[in-house]
Amino acid sequence: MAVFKTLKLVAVAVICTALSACIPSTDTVADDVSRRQDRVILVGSFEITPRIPQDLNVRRSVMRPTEELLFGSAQDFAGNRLVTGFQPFGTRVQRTIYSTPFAGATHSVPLDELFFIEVDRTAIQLQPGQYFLSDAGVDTITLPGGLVTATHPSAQVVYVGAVRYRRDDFLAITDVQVVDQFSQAAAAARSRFGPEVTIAKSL
Amino acid sequence: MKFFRSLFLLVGFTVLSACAGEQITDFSDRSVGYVWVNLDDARGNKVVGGSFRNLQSPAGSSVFGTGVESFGNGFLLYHFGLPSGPTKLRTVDTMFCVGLCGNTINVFDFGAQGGDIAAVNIRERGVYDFGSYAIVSQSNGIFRPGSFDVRRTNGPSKRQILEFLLADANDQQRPLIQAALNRL
Repeated sequence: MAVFKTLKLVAVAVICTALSACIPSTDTVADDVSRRQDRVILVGSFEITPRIPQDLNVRRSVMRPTEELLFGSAQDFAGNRLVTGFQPFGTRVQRTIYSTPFAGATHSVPLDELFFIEVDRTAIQLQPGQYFLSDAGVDTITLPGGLVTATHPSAQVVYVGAVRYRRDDFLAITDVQVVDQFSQAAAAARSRFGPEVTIAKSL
Repeated sequence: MKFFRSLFLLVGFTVLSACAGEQITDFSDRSVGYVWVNLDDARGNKVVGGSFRNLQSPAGSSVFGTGVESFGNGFLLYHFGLPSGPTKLRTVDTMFCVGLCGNTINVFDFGAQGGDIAAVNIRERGVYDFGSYAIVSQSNGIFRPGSFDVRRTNGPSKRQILEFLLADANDQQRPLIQAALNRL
């Protein structure tokens, strides 16, 4: 009996480990500049205009604390956030039939706020994003990706602009612009990482 | 036994009452909307439910379950109390029935985004035609969920639909539908 119990525990541990790999990272704020030469911090922001009224958003947590601990909280992805990915240009996300739609280098980024995300120092392509109208994940808005950010050989921080998605009354994206708000972003980066930090612009 | 049966019924009704949405009593600012769908190439041969989504209503009161009627060689989905604002067809639920129905409900989800298909921006009270569409199911193999395409098609005439709605409508919405009929 003890053997079966152990096997059961091992099976549960394996399943939990496998599922935890499906959880996208919500860490969108790098606290310090990387000491590695092959890493760089992207700074930028996303906005949807007109803003989506937050009373359209359903946020009812149906998960128990232990489930949230194991699988992550859906609250991290609902709300005024964009779930998207910053993928090295030319690479493809490896998916299996077990993959969630967020497999790969995925982040849940709050809209209208600056993000500071550490990535490889290479050309980075913005992946198509999703905005969740409910934490059950059933009602989503898809936002186009494709924006490619050129690499910079030495800067510690690279500003990639404010990506502004314009929408119509039916939440369809009608236009995408990259707006240059470098001065505000540079000030925020210096305040976060210190006055000596080197910042480049790549729009 | 009788006591237990009553108890079960009471519990059942209590649970079901929690599912009921808010009942509309004042239709003075509400519109009538309808959409017609054909299922010849879709999974299922009978529409058993459907819903509209209003994109201006707060979450929790933005979904409006439709009435369903077999109409011509398709089905009419309609609602007499749609509020103003961007509104679109949300779901069409179908089953396969030959006398008895199977145990599968196919939910065709039209998504929360986009105004190209079965969508109307209701700016003032009126009767709104969301269009006539054929749903075409597509199989994606065993390991992926099926998807579907939607084609515009010719449905029953507007007059036929409005005459049906006029007979089915409540007293508050009947003049609205009659006025729409008179304009034809």
